Amino acid sequence: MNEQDRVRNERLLDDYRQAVCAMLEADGFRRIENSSPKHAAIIIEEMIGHAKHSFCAVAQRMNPEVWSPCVIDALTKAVKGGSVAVSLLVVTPEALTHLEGIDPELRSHIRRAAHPENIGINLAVMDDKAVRLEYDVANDRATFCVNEAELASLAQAKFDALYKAGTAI
Amino acid sequence: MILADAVASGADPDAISICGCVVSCLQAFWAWLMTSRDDSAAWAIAFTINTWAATIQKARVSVYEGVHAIFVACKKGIKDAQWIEDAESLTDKEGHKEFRSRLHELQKYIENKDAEFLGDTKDSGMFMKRVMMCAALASVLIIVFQWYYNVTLAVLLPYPLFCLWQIIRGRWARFRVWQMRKSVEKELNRIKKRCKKPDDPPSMCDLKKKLDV
Repeated sequence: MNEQDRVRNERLLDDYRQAVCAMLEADGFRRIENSSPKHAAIIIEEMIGHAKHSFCAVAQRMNPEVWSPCVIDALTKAVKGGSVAVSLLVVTPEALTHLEGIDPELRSHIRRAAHPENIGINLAVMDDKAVRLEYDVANDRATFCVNEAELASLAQAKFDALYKAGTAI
Repeated sequence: MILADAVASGADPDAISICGCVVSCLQAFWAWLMTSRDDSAAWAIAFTINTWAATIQKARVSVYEGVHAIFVACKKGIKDAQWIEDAESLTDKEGHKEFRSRLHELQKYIENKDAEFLGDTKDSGMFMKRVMMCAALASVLIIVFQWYYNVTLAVLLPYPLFCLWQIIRGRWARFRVWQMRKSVEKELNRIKKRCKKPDDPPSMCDLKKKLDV
């Protein structure tokens, strides 16, 4: 990638981040589609940053492009801050490899799914406000919604059930 | 031959063709010189033809490189298209307009490159055909010349074989270009598909169903 492309990509990422923040700060219902892993990383990072009470996520294989060092840092900060309840559920051994060397305090909030065959999606829920639902994991296709209370509570309930059955890593 | 190789490294088919003409003229002069001194006309003619064939071969390589550049551009296009797809779903009105214009820019670029490529292969393909026919004809002439001057069989065979080898190499290069072109077409189709509005995302109702515990 040449310098011009790099600068252009950075500008695009900044634009995208601003738009995601505007969504998270909005009052009304908004929904966007997402298929780029880099954009997914921005959405998740901003969800963690904007969380007031809780953030939880199912990350089957913890794609390193999505769960980048910046996202892991944001998670660690949220855990250490103490005001946000963070929980994460992983599925594959690949995800565990990606988690090697993370903060022990963050590690204590992560569980491994007990019944991987029941999990066909990736999801992230912030408070009762925002949900990112990766409904087509093979093709990285996801929806990001804000201010859709019913979807948020369903996603939270699904996560809680999976997390409860999970085992510590 | 050395001159032809040097110019070929610049990968400009026009320059290579001109260089081929210059080198052939020099070779023709050399042929005339040799013929006036002894009976080596056959050698001289064969050498001229071989130089031509080698020069054209280089031109084919440069066309192949051109196709590869388009292939790389297409790969980049796919990445850009993915960005556009995401960004379009997020940004409305003004953002949408900006990304649309970027998309059009990209499509135009690929179409131009494709047209350029088709022009290149068509022209050089015809040119190549004529040169190879000349080479084949020259091979026959060389055999006749060598038989007339009573040259031994060992000397008789290498030049026609070399010409044949050049023809095979030319065909192989052409096959590779064809293969690359197919890949480019495939990539273009993929870009076009991606640039289309993606499949309708699932409804909220479908999403809720996916979350049933």
